[in-house]
Amino acid sequence: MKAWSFGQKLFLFAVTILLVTGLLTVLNWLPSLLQKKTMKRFSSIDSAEKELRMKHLFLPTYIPEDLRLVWPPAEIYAQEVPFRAFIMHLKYKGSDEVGLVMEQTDANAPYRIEPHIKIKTKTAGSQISVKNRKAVLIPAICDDNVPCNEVSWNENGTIITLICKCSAQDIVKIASSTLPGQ
Amino acid sequence: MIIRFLSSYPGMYITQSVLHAHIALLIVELSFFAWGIRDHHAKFRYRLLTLTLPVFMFPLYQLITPQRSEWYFRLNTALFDSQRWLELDPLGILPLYHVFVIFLLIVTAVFIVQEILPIFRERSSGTDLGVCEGTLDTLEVMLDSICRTLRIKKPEICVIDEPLPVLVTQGFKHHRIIVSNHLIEALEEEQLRGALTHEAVHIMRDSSSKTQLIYLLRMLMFYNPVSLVEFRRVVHDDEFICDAITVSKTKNPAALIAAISCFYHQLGEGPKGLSQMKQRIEGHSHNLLLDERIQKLQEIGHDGPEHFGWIPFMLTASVILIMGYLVV
Repeated sequence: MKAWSFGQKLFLFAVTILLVTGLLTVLNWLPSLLQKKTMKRFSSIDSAEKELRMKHLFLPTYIPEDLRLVWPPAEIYAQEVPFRAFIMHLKYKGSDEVGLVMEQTDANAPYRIEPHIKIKTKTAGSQISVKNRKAVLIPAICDDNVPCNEVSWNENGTIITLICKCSAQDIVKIASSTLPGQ
Repeated sequence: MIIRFLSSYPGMYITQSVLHAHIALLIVELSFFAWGIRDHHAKFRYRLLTLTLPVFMFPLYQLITPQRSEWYFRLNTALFDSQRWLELDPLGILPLYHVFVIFLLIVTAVFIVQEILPIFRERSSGTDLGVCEGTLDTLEVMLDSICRTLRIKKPEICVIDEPLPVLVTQGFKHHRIIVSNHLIEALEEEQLRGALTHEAVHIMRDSSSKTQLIYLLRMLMFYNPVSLVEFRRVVHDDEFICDAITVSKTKNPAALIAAISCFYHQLGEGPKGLSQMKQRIEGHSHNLLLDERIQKLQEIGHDGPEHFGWIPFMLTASVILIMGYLVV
């Protein structure tokens, strides 16, 4: 058999690596066929609502303009299995940085889905009222040493959590706008 | 509880090291095919990648990207997410993480029975190779000339009174070759020279230290089926390498083949107990290795190992590391 040149061998090696990549991609995709409704990225809130038949999603109707956060959310994730969860990431205008994370998860979830905005240090939280709901406001320092705030409350069995690289006033306003009524 | 453990750092280390070892094994085997690697010297080095890299890959990746284990990375960046499979419950009876843990426990049990228990059994029974009965002048002269050819310090040689063919090298810094008088009587001069050269090549390559180090890695990955298989293959590769070097020095493959043939286990019909069955399997596997060694000796030339290509090796190692990063 004729000996192959280095270039030919390199090409063959690249092809085999592409095959391995393809195999891993297929293997990663297969579970979604066998078990639907696990964590998935959606292109829009509507498509998540439709596909997972999600009801009672709490969406903000007000986002302070000076925060330069872009609506609709840049990233939307949702799952029904192993527990109900809906996550939105809002990014800053002209940037890839996430400025607001909003999570809605089942209050009975066995574990918490780690938010994409990392909280480095938390201070003691204070109890506040968000449209007559008892909520906890925690001032914190997030990744990149940026001051941020977290607000969370239980809305009829759904834990709603907002983490925003914004002031406490702004996050409370955003949180309030997710709830109906005055 | 199990899924919580598998989501913790130790659990992720175990899961990912098993996955990384499989990926490394697949890439290394494909590399043999793509780069046309047939030489055992090269195969030995490539197989070391399968054994060594998975030990360090997970901590290294976590150091580089601490967020790598989080759902966001798994969903958006990873090429393969193990949790997707582990959380599956296709029949609604048993989630796959149970199956995975049972599989790892079986591999661990095999490791204990196959590797750990024999060590304790040997220690408690005090099995030794026998008392050194001294040496023979002819052996000393032969070994002296072999060591001069290989440019190594001449090891001590010791003849034992043993009715079986025995030829082993002991020690790490100060080596000692032990040979049974049965083997000395059974082999002709050139055959004995071939066998002794093979042992001297082991000393030259520092095989015992290498094997101990590789065994340590194998012990760290006691739950990993790939380590179980690859450790044996690496040890076998070392034998093939030493055979090839021996023949390149003695230029007499026929003598080495004849010497190797002396070490075949006789697999007669004996009592059919479980331990006898184990012995027969081990004997059969030992004979298969000897068959393969003889076959390789019949195929190889007298030129020793081929030139080792570092570029293909580095490319293969890089691909394993990159792929491993994307497999969580």
